[in-house]
Amino acid sequence: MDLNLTAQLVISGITQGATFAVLGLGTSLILNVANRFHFAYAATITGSAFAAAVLQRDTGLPAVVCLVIAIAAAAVFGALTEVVVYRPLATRSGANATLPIFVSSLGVTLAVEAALQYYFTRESPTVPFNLVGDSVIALPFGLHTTRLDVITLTVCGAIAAGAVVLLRYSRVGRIVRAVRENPMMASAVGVRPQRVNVSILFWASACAGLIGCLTAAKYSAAAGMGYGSLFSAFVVAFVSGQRAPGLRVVLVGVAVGLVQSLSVLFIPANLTDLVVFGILFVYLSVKGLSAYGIRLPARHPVRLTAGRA
Amino acid sequence: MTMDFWYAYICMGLIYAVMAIALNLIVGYAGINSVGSAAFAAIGGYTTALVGIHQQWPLLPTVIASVVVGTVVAVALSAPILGLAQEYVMLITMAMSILVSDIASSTTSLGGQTGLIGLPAPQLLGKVLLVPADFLPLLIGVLVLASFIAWRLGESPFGRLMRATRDDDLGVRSLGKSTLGRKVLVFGISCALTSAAGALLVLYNGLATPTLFSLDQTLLVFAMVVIGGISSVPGSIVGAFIVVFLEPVLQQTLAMSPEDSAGIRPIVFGVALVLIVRFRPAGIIPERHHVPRVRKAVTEAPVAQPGALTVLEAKPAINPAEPETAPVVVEIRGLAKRFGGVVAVNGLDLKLREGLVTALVGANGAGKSTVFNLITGAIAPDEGTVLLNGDDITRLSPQQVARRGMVRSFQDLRVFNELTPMENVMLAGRHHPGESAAGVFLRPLASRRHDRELAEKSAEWLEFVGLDPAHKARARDMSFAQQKQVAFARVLATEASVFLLDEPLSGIEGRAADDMLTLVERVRETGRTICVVEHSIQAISRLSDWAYFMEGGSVSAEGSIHDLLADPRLGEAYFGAVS
Repeated sequence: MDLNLTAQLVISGITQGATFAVLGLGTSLILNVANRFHFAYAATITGSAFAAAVLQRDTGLPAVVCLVIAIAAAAVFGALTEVVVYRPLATRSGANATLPIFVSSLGVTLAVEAALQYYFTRESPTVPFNLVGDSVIALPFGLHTTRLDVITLTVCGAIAAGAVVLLRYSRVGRIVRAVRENPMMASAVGVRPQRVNVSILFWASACAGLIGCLTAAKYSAAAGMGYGSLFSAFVVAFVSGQRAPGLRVVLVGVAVGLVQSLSVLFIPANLTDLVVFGILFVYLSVKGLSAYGIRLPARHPVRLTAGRA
Repeated sequence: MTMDFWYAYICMGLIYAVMAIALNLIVGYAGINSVGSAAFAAIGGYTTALVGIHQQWPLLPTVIASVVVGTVVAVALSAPILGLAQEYVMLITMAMSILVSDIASSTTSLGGQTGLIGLPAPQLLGKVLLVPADFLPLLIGVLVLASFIAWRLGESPFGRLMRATRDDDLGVRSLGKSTLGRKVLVFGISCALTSAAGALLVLYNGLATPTLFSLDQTLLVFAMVVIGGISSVPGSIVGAFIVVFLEPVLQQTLAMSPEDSAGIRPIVFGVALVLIVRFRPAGIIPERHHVPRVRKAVTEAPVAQPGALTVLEAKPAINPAEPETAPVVVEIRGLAKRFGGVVAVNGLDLKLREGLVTALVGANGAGKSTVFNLITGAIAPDEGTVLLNGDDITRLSPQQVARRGMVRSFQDLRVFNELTPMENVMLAGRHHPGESAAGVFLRPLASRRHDRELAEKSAEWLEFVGLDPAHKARARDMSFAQQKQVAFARVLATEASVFLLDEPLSGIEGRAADDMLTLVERVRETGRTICVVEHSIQAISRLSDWAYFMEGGSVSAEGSIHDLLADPRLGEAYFGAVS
């Protein structure tokens, strides 16, 4: 095994994993707190990438300004999707809202992805976004990285760390956990679950917007680019578990990034999603065994103490 | 504009209608939210292309091979997760859609981005299919076959069972019916139809490319199903033609170029999906299904009050004065369950005796409903044993427990909302030949005859609980008290020997509550074993022959309800908590 290549892949994997961690945190909150299967997260990623790239191309605004505008647009798009599309369906359908919300989310994705493709990829299938150029930074032992990767890792790392601390130790975190556990009880003590849901969609979409822009800066904006990221984000959120603390989601995100990156040692680079799919498939298959009456032995045998209630 | 222009769109409409029908089978009837249509079609389509290029088989074997490969791959990858929550199914099928497209576009032997092109023109009955009109008879034939399969499955007792499963999986299993095998079967049939559609798409276009089977295509098929009407076969066909024909209509009416109309089409249908789900969720052709008729003589019987219990075979009565002498039917030993750090049930010992009404009483959170979940297999216990007639049923599934003769009701009713009261009760019937896919197609007469008999028997159950058997409204449109009657009739119609009734009076009062108590008493008169969880002490006093007092997940006292309430500590524990 080429140790130098492996080390280089570890560096790429950690950077990639940091983006998965941020997307996974957002997806986990949307799935488990707001209770939305937000397929349109893919459209948010693609949309923000195109917004930044097209703004830069057509207006000549500085890259950072384009980035901020794209992130803000993504955040507003996420919040509006919740208020205009999902909330009325959830109110009407109650416990049976999964399918209507999912179908609406598909509709939003279909319309946004098609609109982006129709309006922005006529001349070229991709639109580049130049954020910090492609300068290479040399590291010890012949390794290297890029300025963009350093920025990606720093920003995503800071967001992930901030989110973990916020969710674990702050009043905001307690409110979010309360809504996740029982929205009705949370509202009985003064929390407004609807407002929490909108906030989650807003901030998670802002993060998706950031990742979309960073991805565009690395590979250019392209129609359908959000699907792959959405898939990885869902895998991180599902594998982490429904009530996973933020730190676990971040660690799973980094692990998925590393596994995906290192899989290049064994399979073609354009098939690395297969590895993530493999992880997901094995995880879900084991989980699904119980549905066939196959129960796995408990990891921690339960001992009950009399009178302990 | 030549006729071939329109024939081309008709052909595409026919192919996509097959795909929409296939998706509707799983989303509409089985409640499986799959986003894998394009992936399953791609497997069939690429198989056809490879066979066409390398083997040059005739059309029929080629399509059959594609269907077999597509079905086997799709089912192998999906079956392990069909028993999980819908979110997992969405995720895994979405992953398949993304990956199949990725694999196709990056694999040289599959043609990469360009795809597999230059397929030889297919032949049907010696005729080479060159222009769209040549394909019409073949495509119409396949659509008719797909429609027939979907219609027979959907409108049969099998379809009724699948719609109930879509509404409430555990509710169906608690009646003794397996759901997972049927879900896998429906999923397999749907994948077979989708693979066939993928094969036809490739044969028709003469090529197989990644864009032909992209995730966007899945979203468009979803749009066809939702716009046409979920659970509606005609709706799927109409939806497919609307989606396909928007493109030429835009070209003709707004003088758009083919590129523009193809680009605008998904935008229009994306917005349409959002609006239809919001404002017309049933779609253009709403779900309609055959409701079994009952004999007029039955429907003219007096309703709205509990009738006579003639349908349940009576057993010898037990003398309630000596309840401890009655044979033990259900015995629970050391049952325990912990959720995280919360001990819900803790070393519970309990006996249900034949022909008696046993009550579980205790404050909210004492673990009474959890006991029902544990002994009926809805939740696996951490420790302990459950014996039914001496047999260990501790690890059995809800359907296995129900089939052995112990059936429960639910505090939250779990009626099948989209079905009529009659259909709800008919689902309790056993050994229905029409509830298997083979029976639907191979024993249609036996299925129909059994269904008629079941309808008449179900009518008697509905009359017994005081409902009009001819009631055509769906359960979701009935009052809570009526839904309660439907749920009770459904439990009784299983003709089990042990009934577990979870708060039969919750949410009802006055005459409705009194009628419910009368019903339970009449069931007891037939010698059935009943266990009831109920908060109303008056009701428990009237019904129960024996009572267990639960505190903190275990039994703290047992005896007659009057003895228990005479104990000041138990009285305070109970009334103090509920007040």
